[in-house]
Amino acid sequence: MSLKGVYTALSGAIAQTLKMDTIANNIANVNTTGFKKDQQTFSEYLTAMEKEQDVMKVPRMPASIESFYELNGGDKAFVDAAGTYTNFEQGSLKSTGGKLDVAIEGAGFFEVGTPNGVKLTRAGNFTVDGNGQLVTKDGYPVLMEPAEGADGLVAGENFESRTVRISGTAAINISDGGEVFEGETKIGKLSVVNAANTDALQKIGNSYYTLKENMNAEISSIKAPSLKQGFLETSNVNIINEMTDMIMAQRVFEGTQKAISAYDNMSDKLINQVGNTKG
Amino acid sequence: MFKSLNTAATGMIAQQSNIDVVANNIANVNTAGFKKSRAEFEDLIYSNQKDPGQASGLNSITPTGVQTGLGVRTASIQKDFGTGQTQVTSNPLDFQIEGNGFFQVRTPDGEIAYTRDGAFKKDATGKIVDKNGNTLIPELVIPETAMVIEATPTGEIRVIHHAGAEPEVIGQMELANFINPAGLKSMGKNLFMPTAASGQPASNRPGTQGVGFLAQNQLETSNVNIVDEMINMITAQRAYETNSKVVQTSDQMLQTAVNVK
Repeated sequence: MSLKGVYTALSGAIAQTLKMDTIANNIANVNTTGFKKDQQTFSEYLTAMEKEQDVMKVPRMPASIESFYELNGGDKAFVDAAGTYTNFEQGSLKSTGGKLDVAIEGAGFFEVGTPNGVKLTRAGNFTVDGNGQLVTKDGYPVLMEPAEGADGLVAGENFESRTVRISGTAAINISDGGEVFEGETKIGKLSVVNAANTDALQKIGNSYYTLKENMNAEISSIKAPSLKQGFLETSNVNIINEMTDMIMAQRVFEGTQKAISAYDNMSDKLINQVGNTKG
Repeated sequence: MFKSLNTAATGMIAQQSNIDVVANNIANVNTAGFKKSRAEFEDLIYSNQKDPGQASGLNSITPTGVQTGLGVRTASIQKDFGTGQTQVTSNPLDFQIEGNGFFQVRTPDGEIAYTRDGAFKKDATGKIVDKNGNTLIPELVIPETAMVIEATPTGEIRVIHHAGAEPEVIGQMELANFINPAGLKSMGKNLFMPTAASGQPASNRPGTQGVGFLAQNQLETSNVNIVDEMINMITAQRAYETNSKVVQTSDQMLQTAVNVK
C-alpha cells in the first residue's frame, strides 16, 4: 500500500489552520471600528488523473487492482486555500455623540491621504490635529472631494489641497450628504467613493484598504452619500457565526488528524504484522 | 505554530485596555470637570500566503489572495470633551464653563496647566487657587474686606465691600482654547498639558472666539454616563471571553496535532 493519502489529510489540516487564523483575527477585531470580517474559501485541487474514466465491465472481467482506479486520482486530491474574501456587509451603527465621529450608511469609503498615496477606510473615528486638519487616528488627513471637473480619485495624486482645515472657533457639523460646516461656514464636502468591484480591495491593516495591482476596482465618487454624524460603524463580525465556524474548524482539524493516525496504524500493521514471518 | 494563538492574545490585550479605560471612567464618575475616554482599535498588518492578482493560468489571474490578519491593537484612547452636567453650589468661587475652554493655572514648577474643574478657593493671601493650591491665571486677589464676589458671564470678577456700595472690578477671567482638545495630555489632578497634537492655547475672554461663557455658583460634573460605561464593560468582557475561547481552541488543536503520533 502506499501512504500518499496521508498528504491529502495533511493538506486538510493546513487548510483548517488557516481558517482558524482568519477566525481568530475576526474575533480579535470584534470591537474595531469599521472592521470587515474575512472569510476563507477552499477549493479541491486535483492532480492529473492516473487513468481516464471508463465504464466498468463488471460481469465480463474479474475484479482486479485496476478496478480501484475509479477514484480517478481522487486519492490525490488536495485542499487548496483558494482565497480570503472580505465581507463588506454593513456593520451596525453605535451612537457616540462625538462631533467628529462619522459612520457611512451603505456602500462607500472615506479617502485618506497617507505618505504612500491615497487609501480607503470605513473607520470614521476622526480627530483634529494641532494644525486644525481633520485626520484619522494615525494622523493622516481625511480628504474632501476634488475641485469641480477634476477626476483625481484614489490614484496617487497630490492631495494637499483636499484636506479639511478647521479653525476651532465654532462647532463642527457634518451633514448626511458629507458637507462639513464650522458654525455657519461651509468648509467642504468629504469625499466618499465606491468600489464596484470590492474584490479588488486589499486590507493593509490599521483599518485601511488599498487597491490590488492588475485589478480594476471601478472606483467612482458617490455624489450623495449617506453619512451619520455622532455615530460609528461597529465591526460586522458576528460572534455566534465565528464561534460556530471555530468549532467546525477544530472538529475538521481533529478529523484530519484521525485520518493521519489511521494511515499511521495501517502502515504499522503492514510493517510489524504482515511482515512478521515468525507468526 | 498557529498564528491564531498570538492573534487571540492581541485581542485579549486590546480588550484589557478597553476595560482599563472603562474602569477609570467609572472611578471618576463623581469627579468635577472629568472628561471620559474611549479606547479605539484598529487591525494589525496582514500576512499574505498568496498574493492577489497572481497568474493562475495563461490569461487568468487569481481574483483574491489568501490573507490572514494578525490581530488588533489599541490605536488611540480618545478623550471626549462633551459637556458634563451642571451641579448648583453656593460657593461663589465655583465656576462652570458653558461651552469650550479651559481654566489656566500655574503649577508649582512654573508651568501652565489647563483644567475644566472650576472649584476654586482662596488662599491665605486672598489669591484664587485651585484645590491643589495652583494659582489661577490671570492672578486674581480677593480683598479681605469683600463681602460679595460676583462674576459676569463674560468673566469680569467684581467684589462688593459693604451693603449699598458700587461693585469694584478686581480683574478679568480668561479662558484658553485649543484647536484639538482631544490631543491634550492628562496629568491627573484634573489637569491637562498641551502637546504638539493639541495645538497652541489661545487665551480669550469668556464668550468670545468660540470660548464658552462663565457661570458662577455652578460646577461641571463629570461627563461619564454610567449606562454607556456598563454597556462598554459588557462588550469588553464578552469580547475578552471570546478571545480566550480562541486561545483554548488553538491549544486543543495543537494538542490534537501533537497526539497524532
